[in-house]
Amino acid sequence: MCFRSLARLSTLSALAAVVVLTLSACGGSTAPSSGKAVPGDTLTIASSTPPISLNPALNGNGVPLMWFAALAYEPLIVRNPDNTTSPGLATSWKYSDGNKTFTLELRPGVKFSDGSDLTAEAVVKFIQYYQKSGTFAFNLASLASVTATGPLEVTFHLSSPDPLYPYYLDEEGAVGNIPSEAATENPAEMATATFGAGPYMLDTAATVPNSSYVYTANPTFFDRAHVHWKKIIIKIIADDNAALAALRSGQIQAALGDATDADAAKAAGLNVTSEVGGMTGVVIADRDGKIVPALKDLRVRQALNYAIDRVGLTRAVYRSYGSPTMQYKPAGTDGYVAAMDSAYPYNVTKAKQLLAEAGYPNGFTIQLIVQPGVPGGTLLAQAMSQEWEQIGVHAPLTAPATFSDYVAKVLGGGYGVTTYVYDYQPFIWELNELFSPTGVYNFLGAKTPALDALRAQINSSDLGSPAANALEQQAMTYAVQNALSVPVSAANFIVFSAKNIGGVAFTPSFPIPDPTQWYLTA
Amino acid sequence: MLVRVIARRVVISVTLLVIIPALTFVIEALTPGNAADFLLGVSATPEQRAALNHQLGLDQPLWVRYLTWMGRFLHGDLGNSLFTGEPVSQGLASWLPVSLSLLIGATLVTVVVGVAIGAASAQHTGGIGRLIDSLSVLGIAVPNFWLAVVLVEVFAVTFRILPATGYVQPQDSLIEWGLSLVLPVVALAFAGVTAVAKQTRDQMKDVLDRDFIRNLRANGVHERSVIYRHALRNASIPIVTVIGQLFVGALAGSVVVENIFVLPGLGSAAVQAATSHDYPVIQGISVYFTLIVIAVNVIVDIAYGWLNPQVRSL
Repeated sequence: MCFRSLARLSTLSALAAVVVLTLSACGGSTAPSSGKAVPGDTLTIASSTPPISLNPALNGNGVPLMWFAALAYEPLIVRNPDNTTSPGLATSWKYSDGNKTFTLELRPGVKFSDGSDLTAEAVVKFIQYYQKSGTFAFNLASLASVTATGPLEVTFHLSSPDPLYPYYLDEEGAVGNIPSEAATENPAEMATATFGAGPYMLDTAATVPNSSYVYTANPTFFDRAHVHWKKIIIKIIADDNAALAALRSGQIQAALGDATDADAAKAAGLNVTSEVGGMTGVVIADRDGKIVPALKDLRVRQALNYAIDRVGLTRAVYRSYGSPTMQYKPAGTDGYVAAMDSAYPYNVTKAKQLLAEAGYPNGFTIQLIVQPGVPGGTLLAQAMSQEWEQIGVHAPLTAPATFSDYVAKVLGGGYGVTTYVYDYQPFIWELNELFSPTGVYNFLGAKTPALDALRAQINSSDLGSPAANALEQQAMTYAVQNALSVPVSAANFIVFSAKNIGGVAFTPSFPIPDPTQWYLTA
Repeated sequence: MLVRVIARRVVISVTLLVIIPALTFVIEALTPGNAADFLLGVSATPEQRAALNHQLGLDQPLWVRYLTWMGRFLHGDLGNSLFTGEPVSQGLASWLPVSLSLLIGATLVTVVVGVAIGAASAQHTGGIGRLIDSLSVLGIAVPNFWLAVVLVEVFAVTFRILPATGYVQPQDSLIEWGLSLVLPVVALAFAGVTAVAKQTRDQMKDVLDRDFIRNLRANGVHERSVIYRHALRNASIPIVTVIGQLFVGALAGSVVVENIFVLPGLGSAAVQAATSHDYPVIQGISVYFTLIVIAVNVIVDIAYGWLNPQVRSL
């Protein structure tokens, strides 16, 4: 999911520079946040891209895009860095009816920044609006209806089991960033101002669109202890060198970092916070062989995996801020299977042998499209293309300059494989988007009935339970052994911050740096 | 005659104002993807994509969209951003002063420093002349984005005497406004300074060899007056031509410089709008860029007339 925002992020970054991810081969180095928190005046941070829209239904997710909404919109459910949840606008929630009914109890006495009250009706109207117009409306495909079952109670009725609503409704999922009822009724207003119940609110007079977004503390926010700054400014700095220079000169206090700049940042005395954040690699969307018949053969897809020197490639692209991977989740998270780490050791001879057995001893040609925004994406694609050339697989690259160009090309057909980056999140979410019949990355509609059956079981399970984890591990094993894609690296998110900024922390379970958590240290 | 010159200029200007936005419109439309793709990504359903295309008017034929835009433009309405819904004219009013501050500042530096160096070096042969020649080559060879990075490293990061990024409105602080422009102006002006210096030197050397200069000197006219009042004025028309060309060229350079120094000008806005396919904004910026080019040409024409009375009599 975050792939979209990152893609856009460096769509803009393609014109400038961006990104974020790197690996944790060296085990991500999370800088300690030392020092006591003291009230701060102004926190200035850099974003490589402006918001797609200030409308919380249209701004995408992932960092840095989610920052623009997270400052002003308190989500229904707050997700903590350790992936636990806390009450947000909702104080409690529960599933019933085999994950087909989801009920929220709302916090009483909450006011939006426009002065209106939080009501169940306001939540219902926004969810309905989101289902019709939101960027990730496809996540609500199972939502049959949403109703106000009390003044402060909202009930979601699902047509099929879906355990991910606590994720859809958190700050990253974006669906739970609820605006006031009046704003939902007039969405055009949400494009230029904020109407949330979050810790800050946009100062429209001081904001210069596409340049500088100024947020001031929201006097009506219900949790004043959580407001660490009088003002937070997000400056749009598309060029990563410019962002680093601004940090080093003291103009800003934090920015997303890049592996190539990390050493310079450390040398300049900045904190470098780094933790494994997402997987990069290549999705084989053409698993049914619609464009390249060879890709339907399991041996061919396995050969593509065996032919990649993940260790060398990871070191070349992500330096010490990444680690090679052959599966979809990092160690320590649900769904991870240790045995899958050795599924495809680098073996060109084996790859050639598999191709020959499949009837392609001389290889074949596949068109590889490079998704803008994948950290080191073009370099990654070039390296993979060279590796595949060794086994006779010719993979010419197409590298769209912008995300919209990429979308147009993918939707236009003709491409069976694409580079991608996927922020780590519940494995079922990843499975849905990568491999379900309507998954966003399954843009050629490949069918995997065995995996569909496993997904159905996981969707009906209690996520986080041992039983759910066992099912996710089965799905992981299936996806890896059937070579549904070519995972290459587990890349880190990196944040550069000034020494006097505390609270900069995130985990592989929820790799989302959140500036509302950052504070000034004494 | 003067009327004919003015009429010719008006016709050219109007033609440019029709052709450039039309070309921009077609090029933008031919670029794969559109604003709906940017907003929705790959994940949207066909119905959702169709609805947004309809809402944004992107489902209409290209010629209908262009004529609609042109009709509004002729009424002074540049439309609204597809993303913020704000009037494009409002954005342009915010971006234009930033770009003009940068462009005019860079041009002033180019003219003053370039002409001064060129005029001074014209009076000297040998080492200084060769130095000017070398610098002019250097000015062309050094990319402004590289120079910008070096300037930031030295003056913003190491010595911390100038800001690395950002723009301060003059109404907020005149001093900080000036300081925020120093590095971008230098980065943008560097190539122009060396080019103007070389042009000035070459023209001045040519003029200084003419008979009327010898006559002036023989009549005891002060050397400073010979150089700056007579020689420079006679040498200035080709220099003005170069300055005009440099100003127009700086429009392109400003796109890069604005992005590096994070200046919220027309260049930065153009990059953002092009990336997101916000075509009303792209159109508005192309109109403003065209108007700037037209204005520069008019100023150059006026300068020709002021510098050379013969031009006025044409």
